[in-house]
Order: sequence, then structure tokens, then C-alpha cells
Amino acid sequence: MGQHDDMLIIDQVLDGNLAAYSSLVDRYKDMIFTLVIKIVRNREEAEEVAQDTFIKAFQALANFKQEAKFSTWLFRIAYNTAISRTRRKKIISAPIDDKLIENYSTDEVRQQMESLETEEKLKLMHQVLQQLPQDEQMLIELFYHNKQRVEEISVITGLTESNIKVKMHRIRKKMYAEMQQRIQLSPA
Amino acid sequence: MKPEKMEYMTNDHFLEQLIDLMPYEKAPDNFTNGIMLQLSAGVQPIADTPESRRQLLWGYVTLAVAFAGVVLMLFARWPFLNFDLTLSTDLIRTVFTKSINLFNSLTEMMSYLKSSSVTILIFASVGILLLLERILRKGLNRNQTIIL
Repeated sequence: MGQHDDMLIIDQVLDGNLAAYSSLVDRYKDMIFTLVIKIVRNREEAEEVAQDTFIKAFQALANFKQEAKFSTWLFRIAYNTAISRTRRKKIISAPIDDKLIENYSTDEVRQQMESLETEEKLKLMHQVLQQLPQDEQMLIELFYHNKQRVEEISVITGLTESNIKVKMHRIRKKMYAEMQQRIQLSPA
Repeated sequence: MKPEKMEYMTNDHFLEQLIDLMPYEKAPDNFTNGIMLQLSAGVQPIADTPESRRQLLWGYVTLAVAFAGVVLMLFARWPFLNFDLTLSTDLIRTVFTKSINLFNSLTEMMSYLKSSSVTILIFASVGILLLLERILRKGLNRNQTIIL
């Protein structure tokens, strides 16, 4: 199911077929939930934000322009809804030491990671991502997991494309540094 | 930095493969049903067309003009600001002097407002107009019809 199918469903919904909207919700609910939980960091709140996102998207469906992908438009609503929630409270994230960022070898980390079992890789990646602040986790989620292009992430977040690329570069370095540190700490 | 030179900064297939291994967080079981129930309960798509936006803008402009008219009328009626603009030769000085009078005469203004039924009537009218506008806007959002 792609953008064309999304548009067919949207047309049906706008023609009054309310039930058709459930297939859009089913398709994107996990993606949206995963994205907002990265920002709000709380399952209950993420559920509320994800629900708000789909309700807002439904209300504004008539204004959706086909210039962008439906997913990009939906991610933007989710991002704005989640961000407005987090502004109400301050969330502390553990910063990664800047000295560590320069002190790793990409090839070495890749080799070490390749030698791990899938379960271990998953566990380690989960820990690494947890160390990143919300905005960085969200960028990784959009770019690598949801396959949004830099231009699309720019539409979703309001950041400039250059800014996103610079941030992504830095996040990658942080992730490699964190991976190396965790591999070294883990028992052989 | 040029975009093509920055491309290497974002593309990392190794990381992409690792992240692809990670499953999405599962939305709660009744998530879709919950949304569909809310939608069935009366949430409707809002048509925010250029026409409706133009009409709302006209509504606001009309209200702003009405409000400005009321303020001017009040301004002309305030006893401590009864200067004649057409006969004044030194407008800035007059406005400045009268503005100082405004601060000095807050008590006088309050007692004037209290005793002036016309002024209260005008303020009440503006209040009702604003209230009506809010109600009409709510109706507009709910029924998808342009009332203004």
C-alpha cells in the first residue's frame, strides 16, 4: 500500500465513508506511536498524542494537499502535537561525553557489531538510542526507520535541510561512540 | 556546505540495517477502535477553504472597524480629552499634554464611565458582538457551513 492507495482512501473518507479511515489508522498507528513515544517518553501520553494526531488529521483531511506524502503530513501533525506536550514539562536526558564522540573507529565498531547475535544487537541498539535526547531519537526514527527523506524531515520538523544533515552526522558519531563503549563494557 | 558534499553525513547503510532490525512500538490493542468511536461520535472534517478563511478575515476586519469606531466615539466623549483636532495647530503637543491628562484622570474617567449609560451600552454592544462571533465560529467549525 503506497501513496496512491492512501489517496484513494482519503477520497473515500471525504466522500463520507468514515469506516475507510480505519485502514489509514491501522497502517500508520505503529509508526506514529513509535515516533511520539520517542518524544514524550511515556506510553500513556504517547497513546493520547497518537490519538490526537489521528483525530486532528481526520479533521484536516480536506486540507491535505497531495504535494507531500500522506505519511509526511501525518508525521508533521504527530511531531507538532508531541512537541507541544513536551513543552509543558522538562525532560532530562543523559548527555554523551563529547570527548568520546571523536574517539572511535567506525570499521572496528561495525566489525564488533557484526559479530553479535541479533538479540544482542537489538538490545544494544535500544540502549544506544535511549542515550540520545528526544529530538535526536526522533530524527533517527524518521530517517532510518520511517525512510523519510531529508526534505521531508525538514517539512515535518521545520528544521532546515542543512541543519538536519549536520545533526544527523553528529548523531551518527554519538551512536558509534556509544556502541563502542557498550561493546567494550559488555562481557565477551 | 554543498548538499552533495553533505550526503555522506546522513547515509549510513550499516546503521540503517541495524535500526531496521528494531520493531515498531505496538500501539495499544483497541487503538483504532477508540479513534473510530470518537469519530463516529461526531468529529467531522473541517473544510478550511480559502473562501472560508477570506470570510473569517472579513468578519474580523468588520469587528476591528466597529471596535475602532467605538473607541473613537468614546475618545471624543471623554471630558478631559475634548480637544478639537481640526482647530489644533500643534497636534503633537496637544496629544502629549492630553495623554498626560489621561494618566492623571483615571479616577475621573472611571467615575465618568460609571455615570455614563451610553458608554456602558457601547461596551456591552461590543461584548455581545464578540460573544456572537465566537458562537458563530463554533457553529462554523461544527457544521462546516459558512455563516459569517
